[in-house]
Amino acid sequence: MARDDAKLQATQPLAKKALAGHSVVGLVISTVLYVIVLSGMLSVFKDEFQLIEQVGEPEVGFLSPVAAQNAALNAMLLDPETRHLYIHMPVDGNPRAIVETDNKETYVSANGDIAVTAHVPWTDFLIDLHYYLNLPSSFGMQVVAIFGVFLFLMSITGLLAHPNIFRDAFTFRGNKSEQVKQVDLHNRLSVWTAPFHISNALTGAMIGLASFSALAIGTLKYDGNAEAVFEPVFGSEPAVELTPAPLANIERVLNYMADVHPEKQPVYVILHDPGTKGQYLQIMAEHPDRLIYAEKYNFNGAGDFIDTVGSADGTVGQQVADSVYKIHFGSFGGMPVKLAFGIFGFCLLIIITAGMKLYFIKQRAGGKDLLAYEAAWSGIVWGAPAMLVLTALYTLTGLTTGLSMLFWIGIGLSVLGGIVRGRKSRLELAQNVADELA
Amino acid sequence: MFLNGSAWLLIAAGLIFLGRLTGDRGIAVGLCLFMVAALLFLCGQMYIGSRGQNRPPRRSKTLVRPPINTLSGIKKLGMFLYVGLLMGLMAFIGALGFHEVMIFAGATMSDSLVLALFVFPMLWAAIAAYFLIGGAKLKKSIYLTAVPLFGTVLLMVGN
Repeated sequence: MARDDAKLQATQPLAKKALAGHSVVGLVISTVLYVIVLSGMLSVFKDEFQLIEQVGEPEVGFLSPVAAQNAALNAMLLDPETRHLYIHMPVDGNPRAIVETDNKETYVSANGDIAVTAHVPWTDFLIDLHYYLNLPSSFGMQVVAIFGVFLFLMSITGLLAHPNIFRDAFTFRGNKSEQVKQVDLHNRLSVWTAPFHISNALTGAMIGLASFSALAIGTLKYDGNAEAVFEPVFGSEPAVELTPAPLANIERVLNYMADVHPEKQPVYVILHDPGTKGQYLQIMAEHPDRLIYAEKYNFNGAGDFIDTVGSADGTVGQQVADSVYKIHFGSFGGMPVKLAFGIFGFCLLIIITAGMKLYFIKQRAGGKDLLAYEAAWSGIVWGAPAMLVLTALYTLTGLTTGLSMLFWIGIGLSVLGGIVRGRKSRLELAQNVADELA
Repeated sequence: MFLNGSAWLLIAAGLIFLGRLTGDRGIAVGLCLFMVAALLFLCGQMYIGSRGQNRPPRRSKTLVRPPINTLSGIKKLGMFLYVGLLMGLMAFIGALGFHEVMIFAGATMSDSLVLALFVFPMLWAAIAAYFLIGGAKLKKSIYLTAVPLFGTVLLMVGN
């Protein structure tokens, strides 16, 4: 016991400092982090939201090689100047086929005929909110990534501030004061979901900051060519040769994949510079029991296999880089893992709100009146999900413009409403104190 | 105590079993199960812990509205910018230096790049944590300056 106490004494200064740092950073980042986490939690289910939101698209369980070729030909008629053509193949849990060019995105039927234009404004808004906070994309992504760094910083300082992490692993003192309850809720959830929030913070930060790093490395190592930085990881594109040529033989390529790699499900067909002499095809195919998003199988325009990029069996760096997406969005185990990610995201929201609540409880215990701030914070906690619901309802009316403006103005009003409510509470409190004194 | 111990054992067993079963994806699924199992045990503990007498709420103190301290606000914002941007820059130079080290060491360009991309946010968070928690100011300044300095020297040597 005495030894335990001495140990605790030794760790206390570090724990105290860590806690102080944890609170300062937490106070500054909580508001924006809450919105990023909330939108991220929902983004896990983006495929499902798309299925709900899209109207009139045909269900396609399987897109045959002939139908895929047909879909590509039809897409080229719609957008003949495109430099890229993608076919999103139907997969388990999302039985839809989409053909996408630089300017058009349309669903196709089981025989490759163009059906309806993809129109999922709310899902697009949600993704935009999570990736960029509705800011201009390259800047927004860096901002979100910086919050990923801060979330990781919070994890480090939080763990350092927690000397009895293993002993208290399952302790929840629900019959104690509100402060103790909030401390336990915050600490226990943080510790047990640490693998989730640490991996998500790091993968998010890595994705967002990669383009920034690429600019510097491109300048230093590749004569200013930032795109070349990623070539050792994701492969390079062959030389452009824009002389017109018949469209690449997608049918042959998909038949090859079915014959040679029947266990690897194609998820994307990517055609670079379609209808030109320099066109080349990539099939992105999922590998069972792997975390990688997909291996890229490269083919020439005639449909001859060239090589693979190496996402599945290349360098460790290539395999890690290709696994980042699935780890971040929890798309590696079907609906059960998605649901688990949804729960972990929700836990992170509770961790953030419990942390802020703790701060306000401590301030109140110290006699400081922060009721207006507390109410403003409540405005964000309830306002953000409410505005997401409201924006979803707004799109149901057929209106799709100004979703992000509506969302942020709504949050602003919610915060203002909170402040007004907080001031009212303070007046009531002051009245009560005056009554008591009288 | 028993609940605590059995929870740890079950979680560890599940993780090892799944990890062995199916490679990297198996480990990831195992980690998810690990967290879900832990949350379930935690829910159990919450239920047990919430039984019994709840402590009556404290009588509220007379609250004093703290004056708005502009200087303190500016200081906090300054520190946030320092941690958020200047340390980011330090970590960025450090990570670029690390990239050079990897190349010197004979790592492939892909491994060097991906590792450097991960090192950047990790280093950023680590030096920010050190800044917030670390000891004497002078010692802190020396260590923190060493990161970009080390990176700059490596960048100059490597390019």
